[in-house]
Amino acid sequence: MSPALIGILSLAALLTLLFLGLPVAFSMALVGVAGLWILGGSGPALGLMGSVPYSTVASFTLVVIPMFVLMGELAASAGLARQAYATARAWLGRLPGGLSMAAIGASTLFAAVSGSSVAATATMGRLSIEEMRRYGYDGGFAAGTVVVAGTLAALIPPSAMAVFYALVTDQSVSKMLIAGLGPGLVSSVLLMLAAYGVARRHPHRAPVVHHLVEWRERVASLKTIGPFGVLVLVVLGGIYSGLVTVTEASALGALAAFVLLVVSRQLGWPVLNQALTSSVKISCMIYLIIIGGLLFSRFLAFAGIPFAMVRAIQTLDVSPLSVVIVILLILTVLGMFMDPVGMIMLTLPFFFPVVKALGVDPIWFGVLMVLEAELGVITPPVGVHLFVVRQIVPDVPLSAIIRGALPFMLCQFLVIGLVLVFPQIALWLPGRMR
Amino acid sequence: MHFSRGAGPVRSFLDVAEARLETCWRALGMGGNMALFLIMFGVSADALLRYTLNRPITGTLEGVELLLVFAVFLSLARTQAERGHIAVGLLSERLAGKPRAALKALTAFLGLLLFGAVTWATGAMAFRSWKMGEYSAGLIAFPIYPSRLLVSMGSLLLFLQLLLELGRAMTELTGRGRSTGEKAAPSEEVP
Repeated sequence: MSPALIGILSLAALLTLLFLGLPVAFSMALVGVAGLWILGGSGPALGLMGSVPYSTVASFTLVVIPMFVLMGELAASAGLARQAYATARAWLGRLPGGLSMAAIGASTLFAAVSGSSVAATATMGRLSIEEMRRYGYDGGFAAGTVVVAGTLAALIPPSAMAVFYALVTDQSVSKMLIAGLGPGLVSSVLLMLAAYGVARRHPHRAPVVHHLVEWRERVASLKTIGPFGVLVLVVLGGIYSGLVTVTEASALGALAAFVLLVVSRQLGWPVLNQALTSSVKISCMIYLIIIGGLLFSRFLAFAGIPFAMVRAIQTLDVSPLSVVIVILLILTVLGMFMDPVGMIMLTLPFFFPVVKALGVDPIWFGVLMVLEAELGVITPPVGVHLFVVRQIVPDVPLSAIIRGALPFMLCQFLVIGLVLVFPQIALWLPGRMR
Repeated sequence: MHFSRGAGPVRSFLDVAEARLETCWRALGMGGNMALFLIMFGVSADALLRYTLNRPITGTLEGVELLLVFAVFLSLARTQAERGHIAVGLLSERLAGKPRAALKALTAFLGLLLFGAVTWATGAMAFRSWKMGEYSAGLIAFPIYPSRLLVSMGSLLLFLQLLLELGRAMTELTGRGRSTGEKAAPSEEVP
């Protein structure tokens, strides 16, 4: 059987299992193991099944994922998201679309302490959407703001998604994390400009709020930035300076968030247990997908599929940029139907060997993958952020939320385009790391 | 759980099994949470002591790896019970009643096949590790077999959870339980 035929058959089997509703991790593992069994007999299949689960999870570096999720959960419980929103609202609230801009600003700040975009969206949604509606903002516009602003948590470090990509492709976790900062900040600015633009064009959807706070209060609100400074210094400062490893920075960040929780007198067993449970559950889901993905990619490698794909692309004589653009288009469509972690793990065994062979910078490609993954969580029909926000405001129809999010979604496309044309937005900072 | 409760010896057995497994998942979940908490303190203390006093805690790496295996693998079944393993619900969302139960039975069966094989393979690996006297290569020679055994146990617990789900789906399919016609979430929690 030729590698091309094996590739097509395995992809068809995988898509069938996914369509039947088998979890993504199970589907990839099942196809991988069955494929290895058929091609190589029971020996390689049982050998890999016996060794991959342990060797994947028993890894010091993998501690980063639960620690970053835990840090965000503890920081939210310590009231940091509320403080971020209060500060951003004090400074931006009076501008046209100011409350929407405040939600984006607060999401940017909170992204610097949260590794999970779903958690960040839920937290910011509960804080800001009702407030915006109270001041006369259109429900769809208010909800749409949060849907897209939540994606900043996956770009601005710490980011579980960036760590996930780096671990799967064997890239530097610290460089991958720092590379998300530039695109994250560009995205934040564009989203704020979009909010301002919508408010100027349709004042009835985002009426200007007058005399919200005095200057004195604004200056006083800056005090609340302190805890963010501590966490950013520990995590980003530690990683960027190279003083601590990423694993250490993630654990120290979680510990600092725990201390902030104690200081804020919000610590209680239910709060701590909830934060820990959420971190374990998300990590468990991600690790199992990594295990399934590794079994699947080992099977593909055994069948010689990545090599055949690389050779086929090389004979086509196309430019690396056009290959990357085609990949991004495929990911945009896939993202509409799949969750981001599953999509990345499912496509990387096919795409990564190709882009690597074409000499594409793996960190730049990683940032584009994360951007695409985050586009997937905001685009219907299966956009997780849309459903998270819908649960917060059940009286706002999903169609209104999608309409409200549309200008912001366009900004995300623009960010992808900018990073594609100007790779330095992502690569400048990691290029200066020690 | 996603199934209705009803009368009959099979359903009663499944209800009891489910209650026992839920208690088990809760206890193991608590253990997993504690393991994560210890990892946070352990890694931080190791880093702080190394940078301030140049005295890292020997064995942190091995201990953290063991705790991580414990936290992750013993929570696999709980994550499955709470629908935490992400799936694409395009078909199951559109089905109700017996077709939906049949689909659930099929996916649970496929999961059982996979995790039956994984339990077997990881168990064999743990046994070999114990017999060979496999140790970690760090400063402290930690035996590896307890971690490998945890992997196998976690996989076995997930197998049991899937067996329960298959039983529930089968009773629904054979008419011994009532169909709820419930709709699945479009997508599960993701980072």
